[in-house]
Amino acid sequence: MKRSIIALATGVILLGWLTSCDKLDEPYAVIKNTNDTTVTAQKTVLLEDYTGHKCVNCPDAAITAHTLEKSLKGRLIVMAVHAGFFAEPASTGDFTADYTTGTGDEWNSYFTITANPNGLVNRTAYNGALVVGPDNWANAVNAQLALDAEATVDISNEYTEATRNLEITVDTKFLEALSGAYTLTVCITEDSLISPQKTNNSTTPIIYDYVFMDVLRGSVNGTWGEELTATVDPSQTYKKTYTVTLNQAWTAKNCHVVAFVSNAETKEIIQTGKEPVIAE
Amino acid sequence: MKRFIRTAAVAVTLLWASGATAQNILDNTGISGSMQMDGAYYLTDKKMGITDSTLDGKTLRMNGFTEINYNWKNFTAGMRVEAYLPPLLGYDADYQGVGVPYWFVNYKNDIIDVTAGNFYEQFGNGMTLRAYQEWTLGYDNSLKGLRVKVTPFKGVTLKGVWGVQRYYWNAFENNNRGIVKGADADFYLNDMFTALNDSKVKIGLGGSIVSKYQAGKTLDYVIGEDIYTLTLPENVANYGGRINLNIGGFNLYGEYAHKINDPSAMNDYIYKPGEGCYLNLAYSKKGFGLSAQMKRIDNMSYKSNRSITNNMLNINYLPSITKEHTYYLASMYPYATQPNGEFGVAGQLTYSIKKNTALGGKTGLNFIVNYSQVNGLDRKAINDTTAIGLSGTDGYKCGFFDISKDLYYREFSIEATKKFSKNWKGIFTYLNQAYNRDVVEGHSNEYGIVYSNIGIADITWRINNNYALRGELQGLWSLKAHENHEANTGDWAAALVELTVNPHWFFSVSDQWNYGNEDEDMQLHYYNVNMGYVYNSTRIAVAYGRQREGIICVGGVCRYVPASTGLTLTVTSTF
Repeated sequence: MKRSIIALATGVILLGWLTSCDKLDEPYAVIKNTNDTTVTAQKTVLLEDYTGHKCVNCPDAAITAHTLEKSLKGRLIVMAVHAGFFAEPASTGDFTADYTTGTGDEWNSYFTITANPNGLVNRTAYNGALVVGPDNWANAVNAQLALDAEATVDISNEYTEATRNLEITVDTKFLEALSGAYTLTVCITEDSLISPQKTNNSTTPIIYDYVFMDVLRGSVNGTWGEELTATVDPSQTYKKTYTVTLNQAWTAKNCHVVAFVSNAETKEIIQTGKEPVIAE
Repeated sequence: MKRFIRTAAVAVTLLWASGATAQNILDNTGISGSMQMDGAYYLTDKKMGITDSTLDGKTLRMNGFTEINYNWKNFTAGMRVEAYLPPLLGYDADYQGVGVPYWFVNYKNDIIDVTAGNFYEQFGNGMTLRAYQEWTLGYDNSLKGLRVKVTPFKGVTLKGVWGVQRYYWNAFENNNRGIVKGADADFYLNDMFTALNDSKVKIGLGGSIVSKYQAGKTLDYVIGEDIYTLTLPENVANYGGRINLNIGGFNLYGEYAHKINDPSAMNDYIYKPGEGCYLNLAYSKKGFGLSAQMKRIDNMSYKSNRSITNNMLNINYLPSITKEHTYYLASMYPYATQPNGEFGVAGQLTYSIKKNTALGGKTGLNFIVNYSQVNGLDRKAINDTTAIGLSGTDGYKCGFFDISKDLYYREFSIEATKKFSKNWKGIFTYLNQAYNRDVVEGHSNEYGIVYSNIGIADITWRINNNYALRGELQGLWSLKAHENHEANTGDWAAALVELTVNPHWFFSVSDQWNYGNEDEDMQLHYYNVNMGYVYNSTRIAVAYGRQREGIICVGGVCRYVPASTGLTLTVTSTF
């Protein structure tokens, strides 16, 4: 009798499992009207696309990032960080281009990016994971955009062609009395760099004239930036000025300054700005 | 004073009583366990391209675990402490840390077996569910939750599991991965029905259903140049049935599994149901064995997080039918199961030629002949306007026997074992392999198929009861890469000499030489010196040398191993 009851109970549980099944009907996918994106808070999100020229799936990820950036109309800034195994330059052959940077390498190591393509969205965990795959970039970005802006970042650049001197001024204003210390990190990115890139396309395994966009060239004020304040005062505007000489190898008109404010302890980014080195 | 004496008497009585209870508990207890420590000191090696910057200051690395199980009457409790400080090269950096990822409490009697905490489990051959650990791969998908096994009648076993999978050290929170539920029933008819008790035909039947729940009804996903919102199934079921039939020397095992729509990063978010089919027919008698296997896998990746593509969080296991090798060069190009689709067949003949015959000589001769081949599936478009595999659609159509011409892996091997005398024994192996490096390693038309011939001679000389000397000579000759493909590593030679001093010591020296590499700078020697000491169930081994880059596979699940040079220490023990 006892065994029969156990068997019956087990059977009921088995039936319960049978109901755990969401069989879907077409259409599975509907085009998203990106104009619907609610623009209530002017928060701008930074997507760091960790990539490499020997990573076959990275061109698709770059398209994903670019499409998102385009559709979100200035509310998403993409920075391509070439770091790790797939970004390493070869000594000979097709992949000698070196887009790696000390800053990118340190971030790659700190955030334990073990495979490409992968990304960080405002350096904030999405669904419990800090490192976000391209499939989840749209959702992770949307999750960040849904939050209110906590600071504003205004960048103004003065570039002198003759000396290649670039004076960057970043004004940061906090919109709330946030707790904790905050840092400002100022980077240079460059567009339109052309060199070979591996792809996952069997007919074109290598694109020899691949155009790399948003490539991180380095940080102006260190890997983790500079502390803005240890105690946030919303009534203040925090002004920082940096003067750098642009590397001879970089094309000034293709370069941008990307500045972001982050929590010094958690590294979470709360606001980002981007301005071209030479005003468009 | 009286009160003090009374109190003291009670205290002594209680102490005595508790001591007796503890003694009784100890009388019925057992403690068992095991440990392993793999440590490495990595060195720079200019020829292999390993520099200070590659090592990143982490020259000393260690993977280790200790597992302890405590048993008292019907109860067992256990735990495993793991440490990766930092993990050895080739292991996922996300493992870095130390903690207790595995603990359980179990109660078991004749009818019921209940486990709370972490557990490993397998339904059938694993196509619906397999939670297991493979230390050499850095693979652990244990479930944490509850498992109940019930044996209501003789010959009937029912199992139910409910839990979340291990994901490195990450706690389950905020729906960061799915919840796995599963049930399995196993019926051994010969025990269930008295009429079949003594039958020569042995019949086992089984069935299982597994469901995963992962929160998230929609996903914004870029398809082409547009953003789409995909509707997602939060509950995805995977169910199957199996049969095991024994008649005399014959055995037939068949299993089929079906998975409903499961769009994920692994299948590029297509909605086609998945299928897995595995058949094994074997016959054996003394000195002779014959087996044939067939496997078809179609869109059967089943993970508890739809957005990850690495080896973690697999709920199911797709069985491998290709032969696993231990020799250096035979294992250079191992096959990894392709969960998105493959069709494979395999066969093996084992034959012993008797002693005192013309072919067998005085001591006899044993042969193993093995053949396996795996091809891709021939996928067809679902209609004229939808590209094959397009995300957000059913992906493709594919009949059961629609096999593509794309060869993923093929191997023919013949192994002969001959005892020349009481003290001399030899194993001679020839293998012919075709390995689709692009498919197996995830490249995109870069390397093509590596065709190779491999010859191995393995001779053991038992000098006396205490000393044995074993030598291996191996060669791998591979065809040059096709035009438009990057060069493969070319031809290799390998040799090994191993001295065993019973019962405690072993020493070996080996070298793998890539003499046929088209890049002369890479014609390297991968030398290795190894020694070890064994005492009861404890084994200590120290090795110095080079590790070549490659992949290692266990049961079709693989891990990339980067090139390295250094000193390693391995300690294993059971108690």
